[in-house]
Amino acid sequence: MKTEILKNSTLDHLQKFQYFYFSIITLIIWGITSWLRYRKAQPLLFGNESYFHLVAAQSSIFHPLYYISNLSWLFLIPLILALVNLFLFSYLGKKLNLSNNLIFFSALFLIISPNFIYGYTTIISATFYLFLMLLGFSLLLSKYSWFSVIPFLAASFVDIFSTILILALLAIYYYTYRSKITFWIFGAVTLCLILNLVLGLPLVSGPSYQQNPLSDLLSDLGAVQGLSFFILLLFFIGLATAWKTEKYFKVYLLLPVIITEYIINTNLIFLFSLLIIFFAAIGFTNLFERKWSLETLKTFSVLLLLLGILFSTIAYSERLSSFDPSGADVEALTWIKENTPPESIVLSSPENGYFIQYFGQRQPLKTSTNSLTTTMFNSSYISELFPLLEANNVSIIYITPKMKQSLPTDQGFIFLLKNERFKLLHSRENNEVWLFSK
Amino acid sequence: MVKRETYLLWGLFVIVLVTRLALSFFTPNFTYESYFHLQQVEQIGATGFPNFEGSLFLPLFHYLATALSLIIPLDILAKILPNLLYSSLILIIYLIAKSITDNPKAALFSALIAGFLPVLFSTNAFEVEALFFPLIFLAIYTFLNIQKKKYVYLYLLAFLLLSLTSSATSLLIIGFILYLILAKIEKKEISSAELELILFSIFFFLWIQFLFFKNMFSNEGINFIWQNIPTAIISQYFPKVSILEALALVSIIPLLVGLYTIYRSLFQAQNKETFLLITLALSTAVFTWFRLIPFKVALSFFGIILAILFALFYQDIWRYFVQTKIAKFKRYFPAIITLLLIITIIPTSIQISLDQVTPSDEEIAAFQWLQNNTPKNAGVAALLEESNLVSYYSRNNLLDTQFGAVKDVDERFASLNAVFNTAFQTQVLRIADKYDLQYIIFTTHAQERYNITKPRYYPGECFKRVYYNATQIYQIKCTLEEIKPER
Repeated sequence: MKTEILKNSTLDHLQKFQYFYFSIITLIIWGITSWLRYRKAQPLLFGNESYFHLVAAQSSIFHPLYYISNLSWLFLIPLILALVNLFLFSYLGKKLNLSNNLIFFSALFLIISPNFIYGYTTIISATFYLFLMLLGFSLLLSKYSWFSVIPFLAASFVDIFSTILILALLAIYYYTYRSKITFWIFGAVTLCLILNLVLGLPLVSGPSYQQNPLSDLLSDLGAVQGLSFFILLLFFIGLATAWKTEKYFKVYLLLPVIITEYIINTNLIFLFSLLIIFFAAIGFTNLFERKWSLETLKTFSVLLLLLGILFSTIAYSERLSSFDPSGADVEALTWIKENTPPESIVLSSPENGYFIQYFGQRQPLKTSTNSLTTTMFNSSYISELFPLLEANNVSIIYITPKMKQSLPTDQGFIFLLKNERFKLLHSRENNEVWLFSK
Repeated sequence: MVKRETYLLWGLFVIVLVTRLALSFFTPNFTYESYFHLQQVEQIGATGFPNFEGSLFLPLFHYLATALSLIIPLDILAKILPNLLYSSLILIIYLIAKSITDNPKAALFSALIAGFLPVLFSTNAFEVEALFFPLIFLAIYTFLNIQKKKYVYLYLLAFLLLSLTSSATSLLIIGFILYLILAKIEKKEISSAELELILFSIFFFLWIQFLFFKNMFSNEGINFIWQNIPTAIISQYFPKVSILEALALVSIIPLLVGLYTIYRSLFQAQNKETFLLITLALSTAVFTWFRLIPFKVALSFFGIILAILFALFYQDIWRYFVQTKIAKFKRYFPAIITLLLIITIIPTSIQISLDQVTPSDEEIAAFQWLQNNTPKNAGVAALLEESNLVSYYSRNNLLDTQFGAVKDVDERFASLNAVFNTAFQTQVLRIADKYDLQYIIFTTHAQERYNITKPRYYPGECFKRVYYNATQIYQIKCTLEEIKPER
């Protein structure tokens, strides 16, 4: 493939001050998202995983958020982590002698990817894990290499898969640099892995939900996180071209590990997307640096790619303002907290479970597979529904507009609410709280 | 010699066009689906923009028809334009076949097959595919000749127009990707220009799809492939592959010859042009097998490729024939082949055209009565395929064949069936209240489908028959009210 070194003063300027410009872009996207939610009177912190961690923090002194879970500026933490991660990413890229174009485009695709946007507007363990990993490798490549053991060991306690990924990365690092310190850190992390298995740490931390590896990968297909079609396309181009370069060849070894882990649990989308973005940046850099037979075609192709990626970002940002919980959710759940007995069990859609626990301070009806909740919502007769509600001591039912859209209105659960044993206690913007009396 | 083939080619074009037009004007009206597109053309003519409410589509074909309707009345244009476009395929297929075989005679046979291919012989269909197929094969032809600069620009223009015509352009995109992969495996050299054009095509196509359909992708996820078609009828659009149906719609000779040519060419060295066509055929077959593209579109595309590959077969069989002992009869060989093709293809094509399901004049009169005698925003329940007529005559339907933007499509489909199937007035009234329906149109098709001459709940005090002919129209006069319990 013919390449040429492009002399482009604009690109040089952008690359020289990339951290500044990328921070501005990050702040703008974060600012717009937060303002849109603020305008709709919605909580600035959103997403199931945020409240999963907040609920866990409230009940465990060992959780990193334990001491700050009730602070009003909690929504700033993801943003701060994102800016720090961006800095560490650029620093690490230079330390690994990656080309300026590759570092620049990787960072650009990263900050405008829906995945990363989700990461710096919500609390997810992956951004914290990423921070620890970037810090660990940055220290490992510096003269303070022994201090890298601290972030690596801390990252080992996120979940089992994350620990396996650390080991894979350390193995690649050791193979490349033959560093003795890496050998010792590898051993320490292995011990942590054994300890994690004994302690029963989860395979992947995060809330459980219905998973589909393909749909969860692409934000354009409605995924909560995910990436753009165009990034995935560039990923395949990068995959096809990067293997020729020895430096990148070792990164291929991560692919089977991460892809397998992702298929098992799509909560790993954030980490998987980092690998995808890396290869996508390689693919884009190759296209950008290649001498095309038709230069106009090259210009249009690059423009189409950038516009396509930008469209995905804009489309995703529009969706962010409608992610749960809404202002009405918070209001209704706060009403539940203030007006129902503390021991009440609340029946609602499984996605609302962590909101009920955090805002409503009540226990949602939980089952290991959500099949009981599904059975209840699919009931067509009171003779099916009432025994289930009584057996599980359900006294409060929380219905959201999203649930009403998915349930039929003229039969089934919504229709059964007309029975005299159900009483509408509170309603706001179509969010309803019902009492089931015994 | 070359001139003779040119005359034959243009003669073939005229014969095909005249045959198609004759059949088109012989059969009254248009296929049901056509009325959706006719409505869009009228909408563009009136407002300058299509009606995207409740339907998602690429509008180039409709804009083309609107522009031409300024010169020719739409009801005549709607019969001429699709048939003219399908006839133009003959010229494009001839050019492709000639470029891969360099044999004008062989190319003429490909053109003959493409001109009378049964699956393309819906002469009364005013549909996007009429523009799509000529464009896609024009794009393929120009792609095969990109060594010359002008063909690069022609390809770009053809592809641009194609991307704005139909999402089925994905057939070409997937074919290109498979072409690159197989070329890599077989160590065939791909020129820089080819690679760059393919990449640009992929980027541009995806970008256009995203621009038009981003909401549908976001709402439906991976299921956008199946276009939100109701579960009960999805097998009609994505049926299991039926060899018998393929034999009927592509015809036995092109199908068997084409499959044989693909099979043989896979294991032999062939030129790059043939290689590309074979990968396009393979990609279509794979996606049809996995039911990722509608069967009719896939079969049409596949059939045309087989028509092109027939030229290779003819060339080979001719070379073999002239070496045999019966070579002295070689001047009769083309005539025999022509006769065989005519016998096996043309009757089937004509039959398919005559078997098209179109509304009768009486049904059209009923819909026109509906338009003239009911309020403008009246809701009307009609059979799924007839609902396009409801929209064409400016009334609201319960559900038509534009499923893409419909949120509760399965529920609506079940309700629509219930309106025609049920014996209970209350069920119909509940559906009428829910979807704001005021009329039910009961055509002869509905009567045949449900094996009844009138709705089972008629006569009933809530239904008044306001139009009675072979088609019946009922007005819904009641509504269901809930008796609220005293608390």
